[in-house]
Amino acid sequence: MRRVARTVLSALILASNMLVQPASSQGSEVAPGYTENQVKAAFVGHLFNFITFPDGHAAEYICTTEETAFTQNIAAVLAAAPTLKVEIHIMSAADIYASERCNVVLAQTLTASLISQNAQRDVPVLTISDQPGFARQGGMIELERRPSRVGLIINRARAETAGFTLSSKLLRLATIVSTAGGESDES
Amino acid sequence: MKVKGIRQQVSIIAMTVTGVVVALILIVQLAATLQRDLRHITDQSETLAQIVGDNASAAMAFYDPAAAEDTLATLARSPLVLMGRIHNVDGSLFAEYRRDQQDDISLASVDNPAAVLAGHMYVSKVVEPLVIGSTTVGSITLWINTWDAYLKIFTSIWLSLIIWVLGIVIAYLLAERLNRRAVAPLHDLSEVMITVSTTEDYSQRFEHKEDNEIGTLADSFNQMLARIDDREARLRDAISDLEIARDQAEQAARTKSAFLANMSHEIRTPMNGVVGMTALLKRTQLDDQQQHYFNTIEKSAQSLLMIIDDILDFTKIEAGKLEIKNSEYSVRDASAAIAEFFAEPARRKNLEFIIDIDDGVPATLIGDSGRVRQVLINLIGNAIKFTDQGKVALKISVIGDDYHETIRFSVTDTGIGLSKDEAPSIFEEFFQADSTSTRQFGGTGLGLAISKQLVTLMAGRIAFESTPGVGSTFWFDLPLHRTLINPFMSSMRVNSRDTLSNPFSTALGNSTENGADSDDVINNAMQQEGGVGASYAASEEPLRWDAKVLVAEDSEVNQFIIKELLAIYGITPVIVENGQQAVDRFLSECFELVFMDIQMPVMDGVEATSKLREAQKQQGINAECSIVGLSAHAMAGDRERYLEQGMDDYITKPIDIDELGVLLKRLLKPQSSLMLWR
Repeated sequence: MRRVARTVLSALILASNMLVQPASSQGSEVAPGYTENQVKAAFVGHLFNFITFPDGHAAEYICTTEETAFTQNIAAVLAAAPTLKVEIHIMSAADIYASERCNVVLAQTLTASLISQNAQRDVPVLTISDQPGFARQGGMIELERRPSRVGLIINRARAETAGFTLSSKLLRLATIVSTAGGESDES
Repeated sequence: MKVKGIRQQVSIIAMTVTGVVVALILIVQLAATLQRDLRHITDQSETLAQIVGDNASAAMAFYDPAAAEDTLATLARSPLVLMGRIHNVDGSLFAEYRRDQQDDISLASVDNPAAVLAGHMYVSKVVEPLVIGSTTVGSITLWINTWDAYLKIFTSIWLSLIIWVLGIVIAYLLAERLNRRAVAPLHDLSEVMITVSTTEDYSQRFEHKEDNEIGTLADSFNQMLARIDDREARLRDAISDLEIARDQAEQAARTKSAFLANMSHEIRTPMNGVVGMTALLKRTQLDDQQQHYFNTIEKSAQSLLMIIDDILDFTKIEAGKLEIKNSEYSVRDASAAIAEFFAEPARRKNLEFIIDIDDGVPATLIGDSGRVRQVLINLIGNAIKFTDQGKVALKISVIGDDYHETIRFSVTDTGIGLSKDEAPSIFEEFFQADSTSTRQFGGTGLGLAISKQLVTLMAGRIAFESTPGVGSTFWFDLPLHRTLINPFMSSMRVNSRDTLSNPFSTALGNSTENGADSDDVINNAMQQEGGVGASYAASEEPLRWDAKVLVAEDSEVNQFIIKELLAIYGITPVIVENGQQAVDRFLSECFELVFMDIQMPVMDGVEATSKLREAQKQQGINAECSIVGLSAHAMAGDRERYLEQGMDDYITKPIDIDELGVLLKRLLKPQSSLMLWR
């Protein structure tokens, strides 16, 4: 069973890896045959393999304020990867703030500032968003839409201050930035 | 195929074994080295693939082929990697690295480099999965150039070849050393052995310095030679002793032969006088008592002659000088003679004497009739001797098949027979059944021994069957040699009581002398034969010749006897005492016949004969005169020797009157044949 599951997961990861929406509304393709949301959802799934949570914890709850095609793709990716044991939950910003279980917050358009504020809490919460400027505004991981692909922008200082350890492999692929007003550091 | 020497074989074996073993070791070592190096390269490549793959995993996870190719580019630092590829889990290419040029492999502008590398012998492929977390997301494949590993092996092969050759050379040198220490001494030892066996010089020894197994072998060999040498010396001494003994024995045999010859001569010479005188005496008028005395003298003389003949025969056989003379003879005549010979003895004992000849017996045979007759006389004489009543039968038959025909003479009697104890020794010389029988029957005990020897000389065999109190059958088989024209005889059965009684009617006595010994029987028969001749001589007028005869004889007795015997035939000889006188008379007078004694004073008969022959040949004196040897020399070869020395005939003493008559008839002119037998 486990071997079958691995095979299915591999196929889904591949699919998610390649899921890039046809550039109908967003412009050109980021990967052949896949939508941008599919690609970004796969990226979210992969992130947990390259980020170490503090105190031996692992990603458990991805909390977001609204259900979109992006969140649906994430849910599909997570469902295909049961070993991650990560769930995505839709809830209000207040609930997200009040929740002790939400250790990953996916900040979409309307909740960006909230997520930013929430991120100021002592509880280590990994904040992810595809909103431009999210990392520079205090977010940790930003999924950036580039001309032919999806890239990563990481606020390394914010994430490490919160106790997260980022893999060098991940950092090598990403653009490293600091909070607005700070010096930009790309790699 | 040429057989190689030990030395060559040792060298060949040492080099072969060393070459094979070293070659195997080197091959195994080279194979192990190659395998180890290839394994090492593979391990290195797998590790490299895992590291590079791990580094490229993030790039793959976040779909960043450029970053992945940057990671793959680090493979340039490893000169073994010809190409590296990262594939998605479905096999599609994600990122690639190619080394532009290495050795003779160029991938820079190749559309399908993997196919190029797959066809290359020294390229191996390493594939490692790319795993993120616990999920395989693809694979990394490295194409590794293993040429260096093979190149290292090729380099090692040259080194191995040098080691291999070196090993063989060392093995050869060691073998040569072994040869010098072990094989060379063996070779030298074998040379000594060959020399000893060729020259038979057992005094040679093998010098050596070895104190090992070869030394032990050489010492043993030398000891063996010493023993053989010693044995040879003793053998030579023994042979020398044996040669001396042989010479002495031969000398003794020659002395014995000479003695027998002399004895024969010396005994026969007076016997000539006795027999001659009895023959002459028989021609005179005797009263009954004188006739009885005469018969006793004649019988004793014949017995003595027979014993002498037996002893002479036995010594001839023992000396191997008795020869068998084959010629044609008539079975019927021989049988008739036998019948005549034993008619009287059988009649005297009132025995029936039967001769039975089968249909298949040829009328004439080839063989020595005299010796056959001698054997038959012995067997039949014994049969009559030991048979008091009943019959004695001679049966002649042919047995065997067409390829191995033999003629069998069997003599059956109804006599006393032989016990089982006597049977094994019956053919031994000087055998007598027992002392009692010796006294009862007499005899020398040589008859059967001589018979067996004669039969053996005639390539036959003799045997007997006997039942005590019932009788005996003695038989002997001889090879049957048929004459070219050889009609079969019609069967013949002669019974002494019937058909043979008449011819001997004058000699058949009416007395029955049971207990007469076999020699007596034969003597009686001989006397009867002689009696026939004597009676004939006394009652019949013999041929008479008016011939001039010269007799050379030194013995006065013999002079008288031959003078009287010749007188019977009307001849008055001229008698001289030695050879010289004979030659003198021969040269001055005419003679038709000369009787020449062999042993005479002044000049012996042989030399005198030679001179007479010379005179006949060169001067034509008495050219047609015959010379007859006259001697008591009766040893084997005497007759032949004297005939070779120029004599026309030869008669032995004592002179038989009938034999003399036959000889005169043959040698003298037929003018005298006007005198007829009456």
